[in-house]
Amino acid sequence: MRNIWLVIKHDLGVTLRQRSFWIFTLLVPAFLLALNTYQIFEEGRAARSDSDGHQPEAESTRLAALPAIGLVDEAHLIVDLPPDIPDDLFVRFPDPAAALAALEAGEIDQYVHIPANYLIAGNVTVYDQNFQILQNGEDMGVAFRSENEWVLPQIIGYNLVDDEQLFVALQNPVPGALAESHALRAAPETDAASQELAGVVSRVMPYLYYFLLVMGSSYLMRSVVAEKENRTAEVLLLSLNPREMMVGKLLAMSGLTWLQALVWVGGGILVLGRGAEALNVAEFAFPPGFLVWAVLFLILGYLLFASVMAAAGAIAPNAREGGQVTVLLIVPLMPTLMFGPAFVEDPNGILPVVLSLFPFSAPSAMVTRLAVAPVPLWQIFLSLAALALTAYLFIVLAARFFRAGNLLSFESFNWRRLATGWRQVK
Amino acid sequence: MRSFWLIARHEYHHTVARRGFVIMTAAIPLGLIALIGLGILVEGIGKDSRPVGYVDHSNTLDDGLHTMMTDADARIQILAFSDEATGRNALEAEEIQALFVLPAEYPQTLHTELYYLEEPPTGEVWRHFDDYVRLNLLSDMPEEMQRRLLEGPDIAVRDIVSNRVFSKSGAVNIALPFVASFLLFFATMAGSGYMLGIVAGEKENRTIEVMVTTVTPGQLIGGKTLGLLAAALTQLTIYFLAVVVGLVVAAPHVPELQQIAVPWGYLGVVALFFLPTYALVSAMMVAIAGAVGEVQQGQQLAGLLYFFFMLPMLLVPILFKNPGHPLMVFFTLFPTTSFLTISLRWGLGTVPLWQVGVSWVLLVATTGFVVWAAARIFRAGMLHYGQPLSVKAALASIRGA
Repeated sequence: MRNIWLVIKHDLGVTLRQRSFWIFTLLVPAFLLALNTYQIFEEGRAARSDSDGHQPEAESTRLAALPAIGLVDEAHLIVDLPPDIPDDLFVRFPDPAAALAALEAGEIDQYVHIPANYLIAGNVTVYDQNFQILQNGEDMGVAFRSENEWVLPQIIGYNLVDDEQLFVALQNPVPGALAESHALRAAPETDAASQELAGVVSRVMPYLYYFLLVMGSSYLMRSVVAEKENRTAEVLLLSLNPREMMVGKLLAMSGLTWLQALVWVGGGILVLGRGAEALNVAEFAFPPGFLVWAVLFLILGYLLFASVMAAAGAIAPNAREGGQVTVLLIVPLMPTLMFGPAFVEDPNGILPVVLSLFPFSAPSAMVTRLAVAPVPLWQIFLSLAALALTAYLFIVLAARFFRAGNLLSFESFNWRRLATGWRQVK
Repeated sequence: MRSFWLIARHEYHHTVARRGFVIMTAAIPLGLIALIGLGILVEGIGKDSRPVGYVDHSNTLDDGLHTMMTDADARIQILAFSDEATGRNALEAEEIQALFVLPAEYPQTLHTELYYLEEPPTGEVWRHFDDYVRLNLLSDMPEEMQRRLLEGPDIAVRDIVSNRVFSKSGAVNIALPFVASFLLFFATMAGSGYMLGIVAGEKENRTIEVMVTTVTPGQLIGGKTLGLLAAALTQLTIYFLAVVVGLVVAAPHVPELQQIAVPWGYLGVVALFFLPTYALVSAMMVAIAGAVGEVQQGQQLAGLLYFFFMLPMLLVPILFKNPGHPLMVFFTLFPTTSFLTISLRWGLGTVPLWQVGVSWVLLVATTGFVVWAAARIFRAGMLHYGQPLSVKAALASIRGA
């Protein structure tokens, strides 16, 4: 027991003295938090400016501020403008050369060219200078993806159709605002702002678990490999047995993971609080019991990942070769990172359910699901049981790898050794 | 000179033969394919493909016209019901996902009724029904006019500064520089990582001391850099070929991919920026390897350094909001982030020529300085016999003190 305690103390001391540990623990999350706060602030601002909510069709045909726009209409198509569009929207030019000269001279910001064969080809070109696509579509004139991208199709359509009533119907034949909706079954109540915050949680949670699990277990592997490389392991194994060394390292690194978790979760709570403030809604509340499940999944997930890394560290001659195993652990976590928003859209869909039951992706996927929606209890228990069983099996396997023979060997790392190393008898 | 080529050749063969290199070279394209496949699967799983029903009291709609719609097979099926009761029964039996009811006064009035179970139909489903109604409203018009009104104009933006064309149908040309940025960044960082591992490793096990008895430090580092650069280019060529093969195979089945234009401008920027950036990051790794006593120490410092190269990736949300954001302009000009920022900005619009020019000049000047400084640090580190070089000593070696 005393030996285990000495290993814990030593490993904690060594890692806490590493500058990289503190950089990753404090600086990187601080930067990501600042970035997320900025995003939440921007999203909140956008949400407030669009407080009427989403309409299923492009009904928000409100003309946003437009720069001076030229028009070269070789098809002689644009005779009138629809009533809701100002008559002086376009500065007309007789030919493209004149419009180009005006654009280059800065007299106009864009010009629209409708070629003579428009009816056959359907092409319209907008000429611009230093054009950039902006997510909010502002300051993009009448280009595609701009907030006024509906203007050109509407003007052209208006001039092609003689009948005004038909034109209005063609623009939006079944307007959502004029459709009287009847839901035959009561849908679960959703609050748009809470959904926004759930979206933020679904993005942050997989990253949090990714860093905690992969980095925490990587520290363990690096610690084992470093002691092999600098031959400290040879001296250590004279006075303690490999199992004591493994347990000591596992506990020391789990302590560090908890320290990181505290720093990051604190930051996460701060972000969610700020997000709620920016969106002007009540603070995001995790479902009851969430914290208990989150801690359980973190502990078991860490034990599983750490045992795999401990085994890799025991047989790898250096950190670079041992790092190959990290790929094995990162791959199952990637889908949750990539498709976090899918967890909010359909938390009980096939992908979230499969990912939250598969032991290597369960810690991150199940906790993300639990954070954003209710999960059937049987799924939580099944996932937890599978994770606990897998973690136990891998700890037993890691203990087999953690033998003096492997710890003192500098044989090159290979997958065959990883697959068969545990079979060797003492 | 012979020693230089010998080292370059050895480093190249040694690197490309490594299992890790082979795995990573194969893993990136395969991983991308898997992610795209998973994305398509997720998209497909979440989709409600049940038909939409309607009851038309105005006799505006002719259900025979549905088959005449362009890409009718890819659209949601639309079923006519004679009365609301039948339609609602089908809805409750979950045979359809929504039921639209058009009143007798349609289209004089655009008021309609919509029945659904819990959730209203998605925007895409609604659009399909809108298109169907439009087709019916235009059924008396000449075919050419009908097609133009249904399809609407195909609007493209031509930038007169860069002469590039941006369009919705050519969205793949916007996405490609993003994919390329990730691959280029990955190859550069992987190459520099090998550089650090090799130089610091050989310094740690003293191989380097034996080697400098027969070659100059310049030949040694230059040869290693060239060998690893060739390995990185090999990796990039494989990525490039994988993307080309993927596009050639997929293009006949995905109409959007047929709009791809060879991005000559982008390739020119890559050609201009890749080599100085690679040289910059490699020189930094040589400096780190020269200054530290152990590989592990070097990896810790390199981890911090990578952060300065990958900053634009962490700022992608800001980039999407506004590629010309002052922060993005700063990263465009800052030497460690310029290549990645320009590469990422390329897909979203024109990067002003002055920014590209100033950025390139700053990058080349910084690279020249760092290469020169790295050689001095490396030399000073060699003379320290396994002892790490302090920041003060490293600065002194640059000053030549």
